[in-house]
Amino acid sequence: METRKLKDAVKKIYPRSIQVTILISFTVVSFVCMLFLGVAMYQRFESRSRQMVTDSSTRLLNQTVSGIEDYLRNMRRISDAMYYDVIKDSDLSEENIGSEMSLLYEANKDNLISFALFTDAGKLVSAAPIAVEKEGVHVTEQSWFLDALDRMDNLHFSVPHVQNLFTDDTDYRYHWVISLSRAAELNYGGTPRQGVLLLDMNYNTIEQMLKEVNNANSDQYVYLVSGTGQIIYHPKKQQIDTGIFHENITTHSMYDDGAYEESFEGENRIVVVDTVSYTGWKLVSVTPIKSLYLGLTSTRYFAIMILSLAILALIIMNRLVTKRVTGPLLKLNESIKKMEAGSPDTRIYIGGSYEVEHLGRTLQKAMDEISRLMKDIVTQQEEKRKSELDALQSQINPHFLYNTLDSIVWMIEGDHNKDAVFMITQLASLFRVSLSKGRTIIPIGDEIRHAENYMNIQMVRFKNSFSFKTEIEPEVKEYLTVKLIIQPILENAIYYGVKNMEDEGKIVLRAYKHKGEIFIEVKDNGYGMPKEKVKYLLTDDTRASKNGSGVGLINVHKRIQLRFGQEYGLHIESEPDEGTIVMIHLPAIEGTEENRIRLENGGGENEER
Amino acid sequence: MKKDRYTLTGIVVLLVGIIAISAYAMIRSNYDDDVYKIAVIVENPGDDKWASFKAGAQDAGSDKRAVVEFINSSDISDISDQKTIIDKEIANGADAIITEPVTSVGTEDIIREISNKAVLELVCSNAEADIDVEGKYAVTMPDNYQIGRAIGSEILIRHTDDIKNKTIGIITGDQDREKFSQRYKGLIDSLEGKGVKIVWQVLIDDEDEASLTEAIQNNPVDVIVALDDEGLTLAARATAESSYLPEIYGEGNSVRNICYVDRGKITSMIVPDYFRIGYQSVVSVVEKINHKLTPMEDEIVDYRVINRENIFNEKNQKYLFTNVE
Repeated sequence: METRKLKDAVKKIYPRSIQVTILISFTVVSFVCMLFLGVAMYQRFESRSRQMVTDSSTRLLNQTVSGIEDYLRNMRRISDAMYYDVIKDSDLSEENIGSEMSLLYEANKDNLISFALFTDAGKLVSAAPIAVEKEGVHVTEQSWFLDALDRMDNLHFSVPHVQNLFTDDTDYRYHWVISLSRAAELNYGGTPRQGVLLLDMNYNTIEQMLKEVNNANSDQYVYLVSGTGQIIYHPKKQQIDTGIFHENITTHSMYDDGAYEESFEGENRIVVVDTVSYTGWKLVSVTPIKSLYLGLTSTRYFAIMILSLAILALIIMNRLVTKRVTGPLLKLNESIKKMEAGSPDTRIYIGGSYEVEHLGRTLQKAMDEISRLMKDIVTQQEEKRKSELDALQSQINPHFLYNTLDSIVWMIEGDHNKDAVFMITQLASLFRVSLSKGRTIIPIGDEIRHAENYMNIQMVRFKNSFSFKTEIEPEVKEYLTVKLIIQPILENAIYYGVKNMEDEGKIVLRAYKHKGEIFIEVKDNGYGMPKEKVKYLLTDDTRASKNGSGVGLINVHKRIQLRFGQEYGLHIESEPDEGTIVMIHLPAIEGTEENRIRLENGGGENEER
Repeated sequence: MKKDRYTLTGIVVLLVGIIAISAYAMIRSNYDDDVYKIAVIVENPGDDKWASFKAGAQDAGSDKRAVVEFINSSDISDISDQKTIIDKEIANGADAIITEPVTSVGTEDIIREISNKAVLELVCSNAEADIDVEGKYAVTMPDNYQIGRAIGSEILIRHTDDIKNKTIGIITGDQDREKFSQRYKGLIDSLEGKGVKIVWQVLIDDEDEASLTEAIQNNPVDVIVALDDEGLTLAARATAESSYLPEIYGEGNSVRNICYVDRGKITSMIVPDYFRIGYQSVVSVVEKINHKLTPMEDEIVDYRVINRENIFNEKNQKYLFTNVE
């Protein structure tokens, strides 16, 4: 039930028109192709964009890491210079390294906040610039101090912190520094002692370096994180500390160098990592993938607009194309509809593509042929009707009746009553067959009787100036024929054949079946006629018979052909002074009621067979 | 056939509609990318105490595509001065105003008028406005009452055994300002019943040091409480010259006062998260500009208690030292 409802619904909305079907098909196919191409190109573009971003980020990071490493290397060199060139060569029990330290500090003070040397007990040996130690500060508890003594072979870079060593009553400033510390071997009058050399680098230098990298007006940013997941620099450091912004720091600090795609807080990003030597810090570049789309919102609307435009253009273009293709078909269809509606003088549309034109032309031919055949049928029916009418009219030919009645009166007056009775009975029989209850199709037997009646009357009239003989095969009598076909031929045989012959005229009526067909012959030994005349006998229909039925051979011939087909009818042979044979060729249609009714209604000989 | 034609016409009309709408939306989104102008009107914006607030506001402006301008307004003496400056900034094209109200009393009309012309955000202190103007502005501030209580708690912590009969001097501001009234109330509520004596209160106006010095010298107290950063600085400076060293407690955030804490001149300081106040106030007004029908919401920010022992711990140094020197 549900399926049927669904099918009905689909049927309802499914287009019936060929134009719309083609339009929709073209549009859908074009759109699918475009979509496929668009998606493929988009994928390619996106993949290429990502690769470009990754490559450019990698290059940027490499450059920046080089810069940071250069800076850190420089700081190491300063520390090395202080340690190897000054401290190691000094006896701290006697010498003061303050001036050397100050010199080194002054030479690099743009990048340094302070220089300081402490003993392993946390006692300040020397510092630059000169400053007073803060009270209550326990140097030995600070991480840079502990790291230096913990791993004495290395130089240690701390994370950024506010310097908490010295105080200056005239200055209310604090400095963010990155401490570079190392264990130092101190010489006190030959006694070695451990100490820690501290170089506090101005964090501002690193910050400015990375701020410049982050200056571009895009969503991409670069930040620096220690190997333990502590931020060295981040453009949104404050926001992270306050909890307003979140960064995937822990994960990034554990990445090896390379490019990664990740999703963090619902945002897809490309992350590229590069490690800074000496420190274990990682420089991380983060590019949100949405920044590849260069303005997501307007791009989205742009894409919708372009897509809609494309579909609209497709529809318009396809409509033009389908109109061109289906237009002639529609015109053809319209012209056929007009023709169906019976509009007169409508011609089938012939035009369009070769196939449509051919279709139209063929249809027009067919319509013309149908029209011609219909006209032929109408004409045939008309002729049939006229012939039947003529034949009917012959039934009441006044001359024949007048002459026959005249003969009867003469017989009665002459007391030839038996002859008169004979004449009257023959006449009655003749008229009975003529009428045949209004039927046009009668058995051949009845037609022969009609002929015999006629000949009997005529022989009396003509005082037996000619003889009449019949040779009728009995089986033939049961077959059907159109009525009033033998009598006109006999009439002709009398008036054009044997009348006024000096010798005895002979008329023979034969009826036989041969090769499944019926043949009725009327043969006379009369004057005959030349072949030229014979030719025109069945075509010259202006010659009406004056002496008998008035129907004529042409009428008989036409009626037979109209009823039974062109292959049937009359055949005439004649020789002057020899005589004439008129042969009636009929189909052998059995005398059943069914056949009779069919023939009456106009069905031909072939239908019966 | 007719049905097909109607369907096709319908589809074409729909497509044309979609094209028109998306073109309009695309053009609109370009306008939406425009940068907003936000004017910040506070007293003495160049003062050190606004450093963290400024940093927060500027960062938010950068994140939210807004230009944050701090208006030079050192001459704000009363509400009408403040209104004049605000009107001028709105006339200059400011899309939003962030301001600390000069007074909290009788501000309904002004709030109503301003909020009809631009988005309004109050910071640090609220207005005592009636119900008619609720929803027309929002406030981002610390809980001033709790700050007062926190100051009181710090005093009690350090004098658990000997709080009774301690004498206290209070440096305050105009009690018509919500922040001072609430902090004062919080302080008094926390010390109630503890046997302390409020010996004097000095209202600081334009850094009137003389009256404070006089009060300190003439009426020595065990504890001085300053209810704002300026008062705290004045207290530290004034006691530097005095013959005795009272303990100083109060609210503040400037580097100068941090330095005083570091040097032991200030015993304990309550530091609200001014960075967050600056940041969130800008975010709040930008949200309102983008979503005009969404009501603005107040926000209460945290504070920390800072003293000499904990200034330089990892979390506090990030909190206190927002500007790199």
